[in-house]
Amino acid sequence: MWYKAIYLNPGIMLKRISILYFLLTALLFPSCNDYLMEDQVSTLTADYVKSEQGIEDLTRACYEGVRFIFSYEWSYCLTSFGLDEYTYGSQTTWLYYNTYDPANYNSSPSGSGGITELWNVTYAMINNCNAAIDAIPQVQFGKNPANAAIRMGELRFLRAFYYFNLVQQYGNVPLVLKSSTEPQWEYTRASVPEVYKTIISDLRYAANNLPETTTDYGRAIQGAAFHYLAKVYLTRACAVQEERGTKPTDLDSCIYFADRVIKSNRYALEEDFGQIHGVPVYTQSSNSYALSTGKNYRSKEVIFSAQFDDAKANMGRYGNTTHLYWLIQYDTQAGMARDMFGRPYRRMTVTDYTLDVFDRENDSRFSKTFKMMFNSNSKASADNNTWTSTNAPTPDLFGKPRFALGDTAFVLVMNDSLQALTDNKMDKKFRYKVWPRYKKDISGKVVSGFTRDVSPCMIKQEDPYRASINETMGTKDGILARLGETYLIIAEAYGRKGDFQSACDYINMLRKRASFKEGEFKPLHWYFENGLKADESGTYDKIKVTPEYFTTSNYDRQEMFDKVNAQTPQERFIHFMLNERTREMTGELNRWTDLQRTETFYVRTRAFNRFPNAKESDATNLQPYHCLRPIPQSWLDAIHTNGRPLTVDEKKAMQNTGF
Amino acid sequence: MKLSLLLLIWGIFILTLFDVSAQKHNVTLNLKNTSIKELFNEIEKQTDYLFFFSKEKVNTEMLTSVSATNKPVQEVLNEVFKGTGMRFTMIENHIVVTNETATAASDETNNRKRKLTGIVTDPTGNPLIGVNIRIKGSAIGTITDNTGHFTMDGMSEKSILQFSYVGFSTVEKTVGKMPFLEITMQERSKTLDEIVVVGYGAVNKSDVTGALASVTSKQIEAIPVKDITSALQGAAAGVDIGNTAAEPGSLPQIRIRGNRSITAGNEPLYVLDGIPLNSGIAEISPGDIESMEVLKDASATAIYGSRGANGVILITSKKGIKGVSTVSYDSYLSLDSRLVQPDMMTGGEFAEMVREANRAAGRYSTPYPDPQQDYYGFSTFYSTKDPSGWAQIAQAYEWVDKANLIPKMRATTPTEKAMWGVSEVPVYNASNVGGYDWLSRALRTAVTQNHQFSTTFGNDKVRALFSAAYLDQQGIVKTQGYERLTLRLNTSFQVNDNVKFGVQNMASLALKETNVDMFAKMNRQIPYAVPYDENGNFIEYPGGSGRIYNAINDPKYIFNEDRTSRYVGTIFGEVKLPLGWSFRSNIGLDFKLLRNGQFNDIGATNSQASVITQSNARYYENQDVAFTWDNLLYYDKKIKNHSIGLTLLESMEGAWTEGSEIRASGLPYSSQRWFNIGSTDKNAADYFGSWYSHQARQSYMGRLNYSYKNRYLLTVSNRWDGSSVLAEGHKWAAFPSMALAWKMHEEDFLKNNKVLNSLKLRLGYGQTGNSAINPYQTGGTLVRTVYVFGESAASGYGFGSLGSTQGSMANKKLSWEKTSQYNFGVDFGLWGNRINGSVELYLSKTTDLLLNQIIPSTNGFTSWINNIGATQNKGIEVSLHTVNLDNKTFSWTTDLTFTKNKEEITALSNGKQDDVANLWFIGKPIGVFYDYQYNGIWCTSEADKAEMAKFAAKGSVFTPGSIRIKDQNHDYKIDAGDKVILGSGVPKWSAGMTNTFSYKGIELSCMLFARIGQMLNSNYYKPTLSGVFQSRNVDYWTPYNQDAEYPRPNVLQESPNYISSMGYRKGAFLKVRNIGLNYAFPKKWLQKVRVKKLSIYVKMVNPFVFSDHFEGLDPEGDVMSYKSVVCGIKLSI
Repeated sequence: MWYKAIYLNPGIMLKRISILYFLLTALLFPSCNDYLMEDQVSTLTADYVKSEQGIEDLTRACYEGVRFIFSYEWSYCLTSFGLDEYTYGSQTTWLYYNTYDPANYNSSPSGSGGITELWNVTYAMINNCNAAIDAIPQVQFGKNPANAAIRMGELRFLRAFYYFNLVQQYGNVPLVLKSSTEPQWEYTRASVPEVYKTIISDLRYAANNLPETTTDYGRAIQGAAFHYLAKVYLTRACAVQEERGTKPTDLDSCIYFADRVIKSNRYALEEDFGQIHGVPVYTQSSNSYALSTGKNYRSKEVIFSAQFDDAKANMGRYGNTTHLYWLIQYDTQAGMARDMFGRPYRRMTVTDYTLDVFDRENDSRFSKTFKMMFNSNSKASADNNTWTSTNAPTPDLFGKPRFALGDTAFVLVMNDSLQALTDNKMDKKFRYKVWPRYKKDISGKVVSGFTRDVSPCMIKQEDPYRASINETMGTKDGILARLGETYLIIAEAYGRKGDFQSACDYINMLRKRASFKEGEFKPLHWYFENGLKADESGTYDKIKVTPEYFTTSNYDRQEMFDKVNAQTPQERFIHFMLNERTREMTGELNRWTDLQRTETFYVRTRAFNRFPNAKESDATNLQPYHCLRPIPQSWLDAIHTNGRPLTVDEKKAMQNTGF
Repeated sequence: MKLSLLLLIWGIFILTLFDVSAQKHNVTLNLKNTSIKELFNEIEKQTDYLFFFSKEKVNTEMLTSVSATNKPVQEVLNEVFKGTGMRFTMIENHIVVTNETATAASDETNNRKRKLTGIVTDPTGNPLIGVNIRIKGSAIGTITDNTGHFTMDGMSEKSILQFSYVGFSTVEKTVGKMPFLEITMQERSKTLDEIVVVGYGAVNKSDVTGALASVTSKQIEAIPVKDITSALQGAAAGVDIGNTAAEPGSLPQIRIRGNRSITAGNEPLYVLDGIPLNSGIAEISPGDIESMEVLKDASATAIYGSRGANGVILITSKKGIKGVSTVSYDSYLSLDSRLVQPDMMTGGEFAEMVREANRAAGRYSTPYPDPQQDYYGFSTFYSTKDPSGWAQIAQAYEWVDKANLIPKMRATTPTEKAMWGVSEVPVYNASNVGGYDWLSRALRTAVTQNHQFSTTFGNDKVRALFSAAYLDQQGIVKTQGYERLTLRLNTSFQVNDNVKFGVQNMASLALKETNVDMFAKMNRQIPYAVPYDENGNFIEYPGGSGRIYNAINDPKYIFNEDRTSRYVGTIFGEVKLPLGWSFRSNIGLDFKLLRNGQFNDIGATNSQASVITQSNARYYENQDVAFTWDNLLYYDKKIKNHSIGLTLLESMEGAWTEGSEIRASGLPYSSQRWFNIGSTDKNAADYFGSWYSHQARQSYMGRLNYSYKNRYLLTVSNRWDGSSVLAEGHKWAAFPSMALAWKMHEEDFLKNNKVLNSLKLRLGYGQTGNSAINPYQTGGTLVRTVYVFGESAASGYGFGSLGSTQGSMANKKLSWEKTSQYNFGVDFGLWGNRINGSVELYLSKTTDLLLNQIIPSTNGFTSWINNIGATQNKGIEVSLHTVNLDNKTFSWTTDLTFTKNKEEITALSNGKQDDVANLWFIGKPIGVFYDYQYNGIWCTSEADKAEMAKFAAKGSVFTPGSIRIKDQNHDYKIDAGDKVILGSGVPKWSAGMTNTFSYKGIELSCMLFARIGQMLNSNYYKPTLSGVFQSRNVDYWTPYNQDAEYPRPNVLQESPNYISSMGYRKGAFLKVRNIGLNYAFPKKWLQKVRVKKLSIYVKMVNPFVFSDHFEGLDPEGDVMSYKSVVCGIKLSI
């Protein structure tokens, strides 16, 4: 009706019929019609995406999500916690990621250790990718026409990367391949085979369209697509009980793409295992730490990595925070103070499995992964730490400092349980504090000398280049794919095909690097592992693997195979590969996906997630269904079916089994 | 308006004050050809007499010659005035001069010959200044002067004089033959014929058609409040005010008739002198406020259209009064101290809790204190040594050989023996455990002082008020404080009969120091620990826990200061047009600049576990600028029984927000704080940024007031609002309203009712809106993401980000949130208005809620803003004023307000379906507590063990000593299905009661305030019990104390499972808000020292709080709050 129209839009009425309006407003405000227009000044709207620059910016935004797993407590909670390699430390915020306590874990509350955050952030990133993928065909790339295809390759690589993360954590997930312009309410979870099919299709597109090199270090290039294709095919091939849509050719595809990475000659193994992440090296003269690689090091072994930087402006919300979580409480020991070595968050402690899976005598990866000896970095604290009348070896030392700044302050010793020491003996015998793996208490009982505060310290992620001692924002790139892993992938593929010799050939390339080279400096703990003084021989021969490892029992760590009931050569091979992955890659945030991929999550966590020398498992509520994360409850609460939210039963049906 | 015209005719009174102590009546004069004016001056010089006359009528330039020696003034004047037609009247020491001929001429028709003087006082004898005096049925009138005196002529003996004064009952007096009148006016705080301010105008209270609550300056000044919101607490029905923070400078939360909006805000609109305020009211000094009117129902608020949904508070600042010049000074001093005492663990209790927490983990082997284990535990607690902490524990033992940890032993009692199975235990007395009173480092008795100086002046052309107010408030938490200086200048100029201009200005500077919350920090310190060792050395980790750093030095290292500069000004012009029309235009400007500076020096505790090793600073500036331009046309006409009023408005508003922020670390020296950020040794900022947003509104409004026979009142209005923040095509909306009122007491059948003096029924309906959402939501925004390729920055723009801010999804249909409200009200007065009050019933429905709707995150967004759902509020409000006792010297009055509101969500995005993801439930208030229900603690009894086994079989593992959760659905599995709504933070009802007793100049008043039915979720009731952190002294479970409220402490847990279920507490409370004793000095004494008014008072503010279920903190806001003892003085000359 005309009067209703006028009522709802007074402008019409007032303009047409009101003299008053002209008198008061038309004369005063000639530009009234524009007055209520919204100008975007400091913000950009969705329309920006439909330009070349918009695509470039959006593609960069799609990379941000690869930092997720190096950010905040999510990093270790979703990758390393509550598994075979590490159990909880003394300062655990998200204990239930280790104990699987259903009271907290199953409801996956947001603001937690990451189950909900991973879901939300990853889908936000997928939406970014989809928006750009949808927009590229409509945009004229005038400045750099070639970029249209390259960006599309990057975007599809990233989308595959994100779905790969999702499917390995949650199993069936909704497959969203179009960007949202208004809310969609009804979702179903696509089956795992479908998700893998999409991932492979995206990665194959990327492999065909990505360039071999880039000037923007950190962008996805062809090698990265090959590596992930190999990894995805291997994952699909691993399925025994799970349905992943495995094809008989998957192992061959895996070998093909892994081989293309290796043969591309764009990547090379570091000579020294310690050069991959850099080993924190203490320098007595400056009383400071630096990495053996130096600052801003880019290993030639790295295929794809989350980029971080030491410029605060480039750090984003968290920076790389992984340096925090494995550190032991070194800073309150006698002679010690907190320094650039790091902040001891003490979230995790090594398990017996992790300590014993290494040939600690001959495999240098142990000492390049775990720090066992600390030098005094505080003069005041060192000076205060004096010999007393009861422990001074000679009377003249009484009252004098036991050691000076820069001297060894404490060591962690991997002794045998049979030669356990007592605190008293150690106190008298050593100038520095000794933390033995086993010691005798006053009653003579053998107990663990390690605590959840102090145990061998995983150092791969340490970052002495942060802005200050207590800075949580780390600067090191987070390595997501490196050639060492490509070797492990191809070896596993050959092994799974039954070709143990080829598998060993690839493993031995890593073992060769892992060994102590002839003339190489041996760390202090060498002497506790029966090493002989002045023995400068190489150790490769002692750690070389042969097919007998898998076909004959009593090789490698037999008691470990027993614990996980690995009897046939194929079972032994699979668990050997997982053991080898610990030795090569522990602390590199791959563990959850490796156990999930090999369907060994339950058996290995149950067998190994325990504090050193403890009888009880720390994963107290572990159930086989924990091999998948629960779907975030907030998402289940939000989705609809038939235009209405789900009922309790429907939500349960949408949730992973068991939760 | 009429008053000012009248006074134009009357001219200027010349007022002078004289010393009244000595009485002189005789004069000695020798004047030749001197003007009468000079003669008067001379007489005034020599005597106590004071001349009153009108310049217009008395020709003071007329020359005369007088010679007199010590003659009475009367004789002198008789001679001078002989034959001039001038006359004079002497009343006390006033001489009123009039012109016989002039008066006679103008009075011929009316026989208005009488002239008289008089004085108006209140019941205590204090003069009333500025009382309106009017000859009934005419336009002639005057006002009382500084001393309460008035002079009038132009009336007959039969004329009736009407005396009216704000806050007092109108008095009518027949002139009669008396030359001098003494009028005593009775105070009436709630009268039906007060003038009240409504939107875009003012009306007699009896003509109000909507629901409003009015609070006068007298009520505001009754309790020394620091902000104007607090003055409304318990004083206005329908207004719920709750303090949520006790730190100085923070404002309480205010809700008018409940929450209706979920995301678009529930803050009412504040309008200061006609200008809608955009950024808060913290800077306004309560002493500057003349009145506050709370418009509650939609028929009243609809004329504020899109911003009226949450109620409107109209604030009117004090203005100059014509004919009155005063200087006044109000001041108070307040001593504030903590209101409640949190019951924390003592050193001994804490030590025992640590032992129990270790016992639960198998790390402490004896059920009694054992020095060997204590030594290990407390001296190397978490492997950080603190010998001083251990020394405090050691005091509790009696030692045989302390060095070797051999204690004195005692035999166990039979009970102990049965429990523990040992025959002797170490002698240990927990109360001997030492420690330190950490809270003494946090709290203090704080001193607050407030000074308000104001002066007013007014004549027929110019009226002015200026005031300066200064508040200096110390927080009871050391390191917190608030300082505010407010200057005000209000002036108006009457240019001529038809044109008036005016300006109201407020400028304010406020400084708020939050620095560091030492209460929270000190409350966390371990109670058995000491900050310094016996040599006076600082202990980094007192008590040895590596997780709690000694925060005692934080006040030296942590600085956080807000500085707010605010200017609010209006300039207006009024023009009278012919035919009953008038035009008004006002332009208002609201400018606010907030600067925040933060500085953390090396040594400041970072979280609680460590100290920062490099200093950092933040400099933040945000400015909010808003302008309003209103053009108004008014029309007033009265034809016989019909009276019509019309208001037309055209208005535009604009608001801008912009600011910048910079943060840096590694600053070389501490004295610079945040003032030299460029000096960072990194040569780069850690963060820098700036922002901008703008929104605009445009409005038209029309309102018609119509009344018939002054009995039937009708108000109809409509407002059209357009807002820039809404989507194209959805920017405009119309907000209509209508109200009817029936003054029943004007009807014949009630007119002479002895009991019922007044009765008015009101019925109103209106629609209001809310678009208080951020701009730029309709287009969908991108967010900047941070990334780097190699070492080159590679920032992007995307929809989602790993950062804390996310892009938003465009909503092209975003529109207004609308509230429709019905209101039924009754105003009544009984027994000569000994009892009067009003009752309101209302129902309001809000639809198209602007909701941050959770959407499946697989969209790439976790939420978007949308118009969905509906809420409803219904309630009843009662306000009552009773005069319980009233005689000449003693009176007792009671004011009562009662508010009951039921708030509920009636529909959501999915219709009548609950939205668990957002905690929105149909039929429940917004923001409920939805969680597991606490059901005691599991014990070791067989019954409990059997139950626990059933739970364990389903995967819910419990152990004795853990919290038992009510299994709501009896499926022996604790999961999301067992969460229930436990309560909400919204009170069921609240009430305020003020009793005032007056005896002569002494007034005693007491105000009570209650909020009933709300629930709190308090961290204070959720101790971690992990043997690490200090906590409330709770009754926790041990194998020997099975009947406990709280679970067993355990070092292996960060906090007990399901501890969140224990934080919900009933928050009902009754507070004594104020007990005050006020003494006003009698006028007779004050006159001698030329003082108009002097009173002193002593008050206790918030002296007591009563709560059944919540103690240790203030149940009003779950915070540490304070009570005050206030003494003050009010002086005016």
